[in-house]
Amino acid sequence: MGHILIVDDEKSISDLIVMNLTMVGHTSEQAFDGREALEKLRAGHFDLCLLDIMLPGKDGFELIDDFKKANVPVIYLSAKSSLTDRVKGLNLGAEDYIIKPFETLELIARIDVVLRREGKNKNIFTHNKVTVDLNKHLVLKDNQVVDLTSQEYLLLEALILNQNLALTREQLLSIAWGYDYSGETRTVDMHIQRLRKKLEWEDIIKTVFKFGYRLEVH
Amino acid sequence: MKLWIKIFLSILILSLSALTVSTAYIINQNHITSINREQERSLGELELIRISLSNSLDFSGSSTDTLTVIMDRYGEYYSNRGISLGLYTGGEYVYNNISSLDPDTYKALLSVKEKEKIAQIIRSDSQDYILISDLIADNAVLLYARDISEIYESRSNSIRLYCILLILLTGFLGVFSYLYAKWITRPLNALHRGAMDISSGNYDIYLSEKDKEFRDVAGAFNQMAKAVKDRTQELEERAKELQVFIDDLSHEMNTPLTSIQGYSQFLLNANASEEQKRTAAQYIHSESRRIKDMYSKLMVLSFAREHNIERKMYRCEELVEEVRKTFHHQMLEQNINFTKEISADYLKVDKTLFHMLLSNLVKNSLQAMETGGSIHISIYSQHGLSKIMVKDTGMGIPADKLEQVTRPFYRIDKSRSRQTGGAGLGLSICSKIVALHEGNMEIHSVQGEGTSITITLPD
Repeated sequence: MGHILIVDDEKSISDLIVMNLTMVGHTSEQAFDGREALEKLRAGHFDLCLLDIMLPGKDGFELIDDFKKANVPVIYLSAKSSLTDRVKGLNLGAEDYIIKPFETLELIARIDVVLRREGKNKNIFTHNKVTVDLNKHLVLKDNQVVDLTSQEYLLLEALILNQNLALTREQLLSIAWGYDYSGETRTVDMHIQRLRKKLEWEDIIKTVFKFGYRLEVH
Repeated sequence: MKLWIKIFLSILILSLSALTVSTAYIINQNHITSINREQERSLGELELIRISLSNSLDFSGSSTDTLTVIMDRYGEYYSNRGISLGLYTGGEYVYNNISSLDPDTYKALLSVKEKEKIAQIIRSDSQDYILISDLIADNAVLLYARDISEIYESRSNSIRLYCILLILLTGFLGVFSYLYAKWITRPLNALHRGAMDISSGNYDIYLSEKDKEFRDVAGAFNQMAKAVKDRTQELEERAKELQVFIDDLSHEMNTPLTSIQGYSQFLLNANASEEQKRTAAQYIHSESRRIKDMYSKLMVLSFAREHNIERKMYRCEELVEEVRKTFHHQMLEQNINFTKEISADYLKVDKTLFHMLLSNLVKNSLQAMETGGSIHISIYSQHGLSKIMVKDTGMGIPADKLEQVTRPFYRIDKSRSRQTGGAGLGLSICSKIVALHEGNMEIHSVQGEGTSITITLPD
């Protein structure tokens, strides 16, 4: 998981992002204007920066050079939704451009994509005697290899990347197996049952009533 | 058909036909005169011949041969002068040298009675004659034929000449009337081009007003073009203003909506602690209140716009006192010293709107001060105008931002005004209210020292 700098002058949105990132296992720091962002950048080491464009002081377009010099990938997070702004943001070298209002799951997925591309994500997930190596696609329980089918593994990965957040069966289906996977949501239930059994995670993969499933790690 | 073509054709046709008619009339008149003259001459000559014939001939007694011999002499004499003679008596021509005419064509002339003469113009293929018959004795008709081909020839010549002239004139008049038609419709073309320009969106046109007859029309057209330009510019500006307003509004709505959506999703999905849940709920609450504030302020703006203002006399003391009461607690809390100086008794204003105006100004002043400081309201008359001044000792407005402070959603310090709950609409509402009262609002500010806002109202 990554260490992420959140630069946004709206405290409510900044806090929202912090809470969600903390849920799925990232750590983060906040900056509320351009000057503070540069101070934080100098003081700490970040795997990624979520950067707003309209900021007091230096704006997001001006700040990106400093982040590129520090080798910190940037995802723009802005209410500016016009095509010119998006193209400008991406041309300046941002890894991605997310328009506000955004969906939490989408934000997390895009952060994950960038971290993985940059090789900056921490790839070992350990919880309750189970260790998952997300790079090697290896699952160990009590240091014994657990034999998972590829579908089961992909589902487990989706749960880990969105840990502590409830996902509907449809969301799980598309995150784990792709949008074009033509299975039924019943398949998700079936695989969840098998995962629970193989990992002895009956209490950890929670069923959220009338919603879906959640991997609880607290 | 285009106007210039109509003018061109009318000039051409009219002048050519007038010319043709008058020329035809003149040629004809000339011709008739010539014929008449010939006829007169012929009659005179015939009379002469008759008298001399009567003297030298005895028609009843002389033989036909004698008559022929004498007539031959006359005939020969006159034939040199283009005149032919004939004598008809006893049912036959004793003499006739009118050789180029068929006798049948002038048979009618033989029925001439005593003391009258019959004249006829007979045209053969090659020659034209005027024939006159005269009864010179019982049963003896003298025929006189004068060759008048010349007259007909000269008429033909005149006509031919006129035809040649007509062709030349057509060319000349054609060029002339074309130029004239073009010249006279030139203002119309200018108008046409101008109208086309306007319809294609180019409003910067000016028609020359030099032409005397055309001056009024050109003037009116120029005035119209200017009006269209002004109106279009005004509409464009208003549309731009509205677009900016909508952009600002959607941006202002975006942040609280993103928060509310995100936090409610967080509450639904996340395996959150009690404390996190409380934080999320608090944010949902405060952000939705922000939207509500914005909504009610926008309602005020549209209320101020739709509202039919009703200006009545209100006591100044009362107006100021009401505002003071509204902010009494906040002033105590922030330790603000409130003073007033009222030298005018009454203000003629809309009470609801004016209360809103003063409240907004005082609220801005309070937000510009942390603790301590003072707010001073004064109302006075100057040059027949009512002046209302609200003055504070707050942080002031940077000089470069003075112009923009009345723009909707404009905030000098975004993060600070969010904490105090401002939507950036206060001064925008104030300026609208002042505009509705047909007054004006002046902002004077020194950063770090304070701001004073003066409203001038007409009585």
